[in-house]
Amino acid sequence: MQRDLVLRARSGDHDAFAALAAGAFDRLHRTARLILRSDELASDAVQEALMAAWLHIRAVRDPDRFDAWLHRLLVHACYREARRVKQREIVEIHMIAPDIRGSGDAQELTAVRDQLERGFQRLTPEQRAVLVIHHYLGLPDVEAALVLDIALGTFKSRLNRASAALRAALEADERTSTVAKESIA
Amino acid sequence: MTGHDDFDRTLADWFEGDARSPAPADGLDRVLDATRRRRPRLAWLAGPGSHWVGEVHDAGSNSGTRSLPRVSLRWSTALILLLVVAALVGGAILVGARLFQPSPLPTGRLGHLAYGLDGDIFVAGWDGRNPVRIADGHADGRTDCQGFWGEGPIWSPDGRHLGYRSGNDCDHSPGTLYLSDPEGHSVASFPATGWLVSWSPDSKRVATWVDFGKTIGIYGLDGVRQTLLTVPPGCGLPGDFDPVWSPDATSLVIAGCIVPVDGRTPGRVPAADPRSHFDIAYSRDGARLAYIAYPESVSLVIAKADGTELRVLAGALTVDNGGGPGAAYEDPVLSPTGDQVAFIWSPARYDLQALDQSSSTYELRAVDIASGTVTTLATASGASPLHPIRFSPEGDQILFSRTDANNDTSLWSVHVDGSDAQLLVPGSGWGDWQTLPAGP
Repeated sequence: MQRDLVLRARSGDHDAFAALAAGAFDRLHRTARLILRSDELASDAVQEALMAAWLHIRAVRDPDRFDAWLHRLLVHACYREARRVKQREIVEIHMIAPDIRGSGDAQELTAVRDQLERGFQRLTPEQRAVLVIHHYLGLPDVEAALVLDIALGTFKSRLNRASAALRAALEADERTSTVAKESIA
Repeated sequence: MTGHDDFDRTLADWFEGDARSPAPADGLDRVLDATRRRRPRLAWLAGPGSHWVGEVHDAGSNSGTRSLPRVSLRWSTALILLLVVAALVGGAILVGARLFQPSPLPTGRLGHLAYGLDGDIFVAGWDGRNPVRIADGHADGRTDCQGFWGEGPIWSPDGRHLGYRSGNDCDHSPGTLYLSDPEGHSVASFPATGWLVSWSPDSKRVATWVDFGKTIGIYGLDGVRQTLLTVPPGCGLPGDFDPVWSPDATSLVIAGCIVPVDGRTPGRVPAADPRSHFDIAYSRDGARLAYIAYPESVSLVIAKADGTELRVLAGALTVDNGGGPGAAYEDPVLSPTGDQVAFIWSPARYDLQALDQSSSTYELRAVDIASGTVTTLATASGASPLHPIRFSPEGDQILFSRTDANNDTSLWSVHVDGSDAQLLVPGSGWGDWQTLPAGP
């Protein structure tokens, strides 16, 4: 089905491209939002990726690899958005509404999420992308490397470094939090 | 959150939970609106494609996707093509003297600018002033429909009629082509699909796809279909090309496929014929033409209608012929007298950097055929941001469209010496200048 749509889109059928875009849109947006930590930036990145996909649809020689190609366009678009926002130094913070009736587990979960959010913000866009591609999209390493446009070895080392960097950021956050609690006590 | 498994699981769970927020409801519509009026670029201009995704398997190495086409394996092909290009350049030098003949006098004078904007069609002064909406694309009150648009040429060659299209986003019909007088009074309308409006040289007929890629209808100004022509599969080059009238109006050319209008069997144009190539454009009198030397290369070739008296601006070889860095030429437009050609130039198309379309540089240039002088008229970055549309009848100005990084379009004019660039219409992606008869 998707193969047929890609073939039709490649011959200039915009309806077929619209069907492909509709099928991929939510996934692309979620992926971009995870990497960029902002709905607004994610929307811009997805728009740019899909525009590039339409303009360059004829470059798709293997219809079965359309998804990988589209994700690669998205990752590149995310990098550009991240560079752009870095110049403006704007960071959008996602507020999670506290559940005041929540159990201790729920409060702990919220705390972990906040901690992850802060730690993740400290990573570079490239490190965030490698973690999202690996842990969220769950692509095999070889395919993940292709989507990220890097060599397999680079992907593996970048994944290790990104994981280590996030762990370090979380541990630093935990230490800060402990010191703050001791100070209050 | 100390063990590896815990860390990975926690991270995956966080991603999963964080990704649950829905994407903005209007996001997809905005993307589709932005893409609907843009035509996909041809494969050879489209940068790396899915064939890059996967080469790592074939290569059996971890060199990623950065392996460019192996030029070394195609030296023989490249050598032959270089010899061909050299022969063409040599031919141009040998016959060049004849190119220095004085240019004919202008064949008309500049009239009005017609353009599409937000689904409506407007007619204004040549510089965009005093616009009048002559066709309301949303007269039925449906703002969710695409309305009217005209990719060009909107004006008939004699400047007496306008042709523009409506899309198919509301009722999923193939679309409609409308003909009207300059005041917007409808002359005819008929089902049609495609992009460009193909006026016959005598301004009395319009050719358009009826079933895209398969059948072409020729319609008179009364809206009656005079002929339905069938295009055999695989006749033209791959891509969504519109039919172009031959100067003598005996045939239509669709990127390498010639379709006689008298119903004779269509066929591939012989390789030696300039019409076998891509992006062919004629001067108003049909005496000169320009084309891109695809599928061999992306060079710009300018010739007389019989193929002689060439000037070649050499571009990169296409990927199938070895690829490699080099300039790419596209979108040639001839001046009315055929003494100048405007075109788009861009550098090094076939490296991976082309994937980053935001950093691709494009230039609108013009070449004076007699002297070979090339002048840069406009520069822009992005994905296909510039398109030359038409020379003024006097040949002293060029109308072109521009798309910025936010996909905002605009119409501009510039003199052929690069001076006096003017923004004519913000927000419009295509317009056309009317040619009025010469004289007061």
